[in-house]
Amino acid sequence: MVSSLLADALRDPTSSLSHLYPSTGDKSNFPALVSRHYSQIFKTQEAFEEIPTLDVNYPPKSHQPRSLVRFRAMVQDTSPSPEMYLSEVGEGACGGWGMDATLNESEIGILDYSKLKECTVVWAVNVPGETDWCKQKLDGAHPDAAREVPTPVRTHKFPVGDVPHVGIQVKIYDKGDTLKSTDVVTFVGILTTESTHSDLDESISVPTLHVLFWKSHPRTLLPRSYPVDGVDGVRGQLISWIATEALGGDTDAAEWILLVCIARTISRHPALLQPSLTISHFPLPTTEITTPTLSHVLSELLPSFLTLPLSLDLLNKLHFAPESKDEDLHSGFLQQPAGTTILVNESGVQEGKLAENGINNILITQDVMSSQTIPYIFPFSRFSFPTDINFVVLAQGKKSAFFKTDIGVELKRRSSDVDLYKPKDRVGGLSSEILDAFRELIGSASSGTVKVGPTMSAYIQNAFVEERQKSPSITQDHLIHMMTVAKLMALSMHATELTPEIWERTKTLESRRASLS
Amino acid sequence: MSSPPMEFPSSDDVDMQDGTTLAEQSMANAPPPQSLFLPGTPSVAGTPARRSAAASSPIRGEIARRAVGMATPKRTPLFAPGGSSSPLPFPSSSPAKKTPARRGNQRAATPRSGIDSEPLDFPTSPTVIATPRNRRGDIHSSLAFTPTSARQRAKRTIKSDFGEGDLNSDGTHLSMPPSSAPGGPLLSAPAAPSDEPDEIRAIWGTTVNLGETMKLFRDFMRGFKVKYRIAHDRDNGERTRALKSPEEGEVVLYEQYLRRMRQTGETNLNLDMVNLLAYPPTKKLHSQLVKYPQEVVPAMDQVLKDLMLEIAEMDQEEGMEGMFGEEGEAEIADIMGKIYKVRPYGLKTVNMRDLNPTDTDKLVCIKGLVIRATPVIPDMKVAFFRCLTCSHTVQVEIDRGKISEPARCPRDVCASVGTMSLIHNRCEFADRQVIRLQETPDAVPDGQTPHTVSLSVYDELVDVSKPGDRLVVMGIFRSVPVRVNPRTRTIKSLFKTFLDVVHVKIGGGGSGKLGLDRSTRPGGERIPGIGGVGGQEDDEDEATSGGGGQMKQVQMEGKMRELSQRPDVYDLLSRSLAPSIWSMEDVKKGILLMLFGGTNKSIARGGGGGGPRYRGDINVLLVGDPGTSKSQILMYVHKIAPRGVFTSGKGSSAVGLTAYVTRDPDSKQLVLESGALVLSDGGVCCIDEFDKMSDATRSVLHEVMEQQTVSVAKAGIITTLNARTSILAAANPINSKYDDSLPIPRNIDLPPTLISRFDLLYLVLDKVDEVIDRKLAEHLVGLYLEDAPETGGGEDILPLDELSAYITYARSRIHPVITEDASEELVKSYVEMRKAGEDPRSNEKRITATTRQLESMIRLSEAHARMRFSPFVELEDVKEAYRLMREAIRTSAMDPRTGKIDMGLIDTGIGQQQRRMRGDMRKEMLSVLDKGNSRGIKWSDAIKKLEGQSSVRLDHQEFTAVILDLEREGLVKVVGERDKRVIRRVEGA
Repeated sequence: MVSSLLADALRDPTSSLSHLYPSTGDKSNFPALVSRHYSQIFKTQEAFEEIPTLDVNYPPKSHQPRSLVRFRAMVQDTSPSPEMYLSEVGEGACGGWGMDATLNESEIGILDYSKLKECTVVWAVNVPGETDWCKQKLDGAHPDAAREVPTPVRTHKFPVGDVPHVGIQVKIYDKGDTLKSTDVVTFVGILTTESTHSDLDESISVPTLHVLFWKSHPRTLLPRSYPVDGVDGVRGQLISWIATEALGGDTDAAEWILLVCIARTISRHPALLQPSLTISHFPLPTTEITTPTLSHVLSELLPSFLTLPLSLDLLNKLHFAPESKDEDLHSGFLQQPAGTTILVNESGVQEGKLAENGINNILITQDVMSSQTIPYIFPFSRFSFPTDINFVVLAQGKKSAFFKTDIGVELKRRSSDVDLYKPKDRVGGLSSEILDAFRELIGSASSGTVKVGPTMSAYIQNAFVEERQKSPSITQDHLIHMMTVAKLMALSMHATELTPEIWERTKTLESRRASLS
Repeated sequence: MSSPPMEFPSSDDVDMQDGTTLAEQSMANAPPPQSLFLPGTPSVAGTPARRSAAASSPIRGEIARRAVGMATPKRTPLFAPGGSSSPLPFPSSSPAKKTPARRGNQRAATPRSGIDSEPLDFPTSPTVIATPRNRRGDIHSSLAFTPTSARQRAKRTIKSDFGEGDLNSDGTHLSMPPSSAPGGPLLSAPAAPSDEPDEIRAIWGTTVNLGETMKLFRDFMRGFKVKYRIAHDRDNGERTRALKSPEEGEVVLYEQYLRRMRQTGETNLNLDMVNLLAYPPTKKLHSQLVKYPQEVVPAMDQVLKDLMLEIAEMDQEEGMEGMFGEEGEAEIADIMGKIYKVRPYGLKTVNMRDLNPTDTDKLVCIKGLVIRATPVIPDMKVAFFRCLTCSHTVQVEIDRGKISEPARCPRDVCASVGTMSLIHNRCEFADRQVIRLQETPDAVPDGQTPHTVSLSVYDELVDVSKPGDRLVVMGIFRSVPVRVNPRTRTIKSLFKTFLDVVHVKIGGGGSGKLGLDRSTRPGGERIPGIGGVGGQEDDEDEATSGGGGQMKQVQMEGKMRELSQRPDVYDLLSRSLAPSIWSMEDVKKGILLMLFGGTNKSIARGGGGGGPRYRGDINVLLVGDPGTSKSQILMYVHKIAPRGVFTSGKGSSAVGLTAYVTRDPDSKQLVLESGALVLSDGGVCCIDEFDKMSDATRSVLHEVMEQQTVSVAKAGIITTLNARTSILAAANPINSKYDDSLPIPRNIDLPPTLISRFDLLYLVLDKVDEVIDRKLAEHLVGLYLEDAPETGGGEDILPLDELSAYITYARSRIHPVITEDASEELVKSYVEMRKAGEDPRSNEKRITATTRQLESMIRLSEAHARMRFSPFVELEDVKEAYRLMREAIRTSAMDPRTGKIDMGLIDTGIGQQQRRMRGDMRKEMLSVLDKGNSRGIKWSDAIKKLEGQSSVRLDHQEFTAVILDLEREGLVKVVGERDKRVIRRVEGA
């Protein structure tokens, strides 16, 4: 039974849906029922993977109209007004989901307004920072079929410019109002083309997904559990791999990068935010290649990762914060889902004039780094949205030219002739098992929690009081910093509880760093 | 539909459609010239029949006048006694138009003239309409009512009164066979003669009887008294206004309003819907109005007009001033020609997200921010169709936003299919504007982007609001189907929604944040709204209750009152302020009182604007070591405070903090953009890194903190903007670490004049103390190592929004007055503070308190009284204020060298001790110089010499100051540079 339902839904979702409608008793709850019905059909991973994907490789054009697709997307814009649709047309036929229900004008007079229902309209784009390996893991192995270059509409709604991407209008019939901007969800629904509706502006035709059901993704995109046993060896391996491949053998810097990459926002009141990191004295590229190897390395490890090659031109031209113009929310580079790591590379910055837009961009970035909130600019008002983005800044000088980060680490290469800008294909090959182990370590660490027992907390208090006796320059900020780092250290070691050993280990790492800066 | 005996049968009708000369009138009985309806013919173009909205009404009126052969508009009374004239007012060129002119200058647009011959229908419009038809764009209802004044009934025999049943027949073609089409395809209520207003007319599909509705409303208008509202409010536990006299409660409110409307020529009546609820007989009417505004509002309009006439007649009979004889007649005629509109308001606002299909066609109230507005759109109200075959014409009214084109000619004789074509220049248009209204920031759920809705506004409401305005609108929620293609008749199952606005109020909406302090506004500021009479009195109550509905408001109020009665409310509130910050109780208390603020006082009499104003705003400065969570406190305050603006001294230029003039990129006009201080007018401005601020910017603050204005002189515009704001600033000491051995002015890089403007100055020092450190560490570890941290260690604290609401409530409602006891205590405390400077062992006087401190103390005690919701400032308030002041002074104004408090340190930057030392040094220096030779003494030698004589270390800075003083006085002369400086005694001085 289920398998035939599955086949029907895959082949012709529209008729599957319209058959479902008459068999429903309580029509008022139909949208919820649809959502339940279809998520039941595609409950298993295998069944779910049978749904064709909508992504950069399979853009809307490559799908038949009204075919069933799944689309893993970041919600970009939730500001379009909800739409009303006639939930029942004619004699008990299903309405909504873009079903072609065209009425004659004469019928309007006798319309039953109680049959009107609301659906949420949002704009969604593919996850901007999603790395290749993560995409593969989530989508399953798909035969490389007709690879078409997507022709996106409304490119201003994608955070990262000049990159092929998919952006579509999504209509959600069940509980769509719970979605927030930058949420990552997989929508499963019927793909059509519809026009955008606006009272004042011209409407254009855009690909539209009528959602049957949707499920959200965790911050790590892939589900992870914490802790994983036997990661101790893996941890050391991971740090030395990052160090040798991308940092000229500096394991301390590699460890700091690992700690920052697994950090996340724990609480906003009081603010327990992830620290941001600057790797200082990072050499300038000697060849034309300006992308540091670190970028390739991190994109092999993290589920969602982006490089921001800063330059004056980019700062002056690009918009980092989303801005609503004519009721259309234009995206900004920093409109990223929670859990994205951004590598800010300052090597492209030359002398020159930073225009107002550039200054704004820097202020906004600094704001995201230090308070994990990003302003969305609306006419006559600015809204501050919580975000959860990790930052690693590569600075050429002693500290970053633009940003104040929580942690500054000076890069100590073993020898100065190590190429830190080697291309991706020269990154030392590792077996996929090892890479997967690395990814798992990072993924689960960034979703884990660490407990602090009463003895440990007494230990920390004593340590603080003692240190202050010795050196009065130590303030509460030091304590806060140390506690944040110690917790990250415990997470990276997949420990469930903070121990004095981890505390001491953190302290030595911290003191090595402090002695350099 | 309302067809009392017609005075002139259609055949007798004098046609004047071309409206040129009277001579032509006789010709007009002949079949009308075909050219009549051809657009573009000059004669037609000149006819008053043109309804294009573009044609300005006064011109049309002029044409109309000329048409009847009058050079000037005569205002002969219509109801001349004994005259056989028709009581017909001239319906001008746009009888059905609601507002001939944009701002409703009705009088100019509708010239009235008396005709003393034949009942002359001036056929500028094909329909003969006695009174202008009320066709409200916002209502879309086509119920038409006839005015039924007593006099009219009496004169019915000569009265001509046409209802809308005539609509589909052109007045010029009345001799033709009547059309078979029924008159009221657009009626939502079946047409019925309206001779008796209580004729049974039910709203379709309901049991609501329109006649009864009208009767109820009439009853309400004549019977509603202020006392009903007061009783109603009291029942709901709302604050009521005290009446000056019992008579005030007996005033029949709406009759007053109607008289005022007559006197001012206003045609809109704002109707507070709460009053309907408050008046016992009309409770039902309230829900009817909400559910069926489409039918009920026109009924109310009708009643309003009837009553206007009735009252006018009544007043005329009573011989009220301005209503004598002819004057009164003119007035009544004027009323007859006007269209009156009831604009209901006062429903509780709902979030625009909560509007759903079940609200369709109901009255709803939402608030939001205007973000865009279209230019004025001419909106077709009545379409004019002409049959291409037989030239029969038909008018079709708009229904639910669309006009149904007749498929075939309604004349039975012709009945050709598809021959009806639209004649654009004979259609009627009204002003319409589409506004996009966005949710206000406080209404948007966390993490959501704001939603927008479309508003359609009509007539008077067009251009009332501009982008950027906050509105509270009442409107009818509409859902209309989306067309697949504008040219096809098919529509999709998709609907778009919008609001047809009936009432707009600008600037409303209480928010979660603190409201504006109304006392900062010039006396009796009116919230701008649309013109119209009535209902504005209650605005003040409304602005504060606009937030989350009355019930919630009442509950909240109760809760707050309860809270304010708690003995530990002070501690609770200060604890709730920045709970994650450990300790610093007094700082928190000071800031808390700053949030409540003192009352603004102004001397009522005196020069312009009510004389000088004494600020009630309390300014607080935090100075302290880095890493002592000063910034965190500021951020917290910024979150709670009204119009809170957070700025960092480092990044803000003078421009950013104040206001600047720029050219608007769109309009190329110079606009004044306000900066942080002006933006925070009536709120709190938080300035971090106060010491890093440029001098230019800081100098602005001098003005702000005492005068509470910002003067801008740029691009030829000189303006003084109000910046009535409390300032909360945080600064770091000069060498980033506070030096205990130096007095405050030496530690902060701020001019003493500015420091003295802060009511409270707190030193937040980071001292190494084992006990304190341990406690601090405990607090932090608890906070930072748990994954779900409990703020404030599990003590009971108020959530942010409640704290904010509490402060808002207190600020807007409580205005404490100082009692006798308190004022005595104030005096006593002040004297005590000043006395602290007297040292019985010496005759020196240190200044420990100045009048500034007294003012601060008054403000603080007021704030404290406000905090506990007390209408009076009592003894305990003053005591706490005194304690806080002392604490703050003790830390900030203590001279570290003597351990004594010296306000001079703060006020002038020089303490008493310092002054004495300088005196000694000066004496010593002079004697050293006098003893030395005339070549003078080397700078370094002088220091050495003095140091040898003194028991304390010589302060080089002090020494320089002393020498400078001496040089200024001409007693000594300094020659040379730097180390080679030589001090010489000036001979003979």
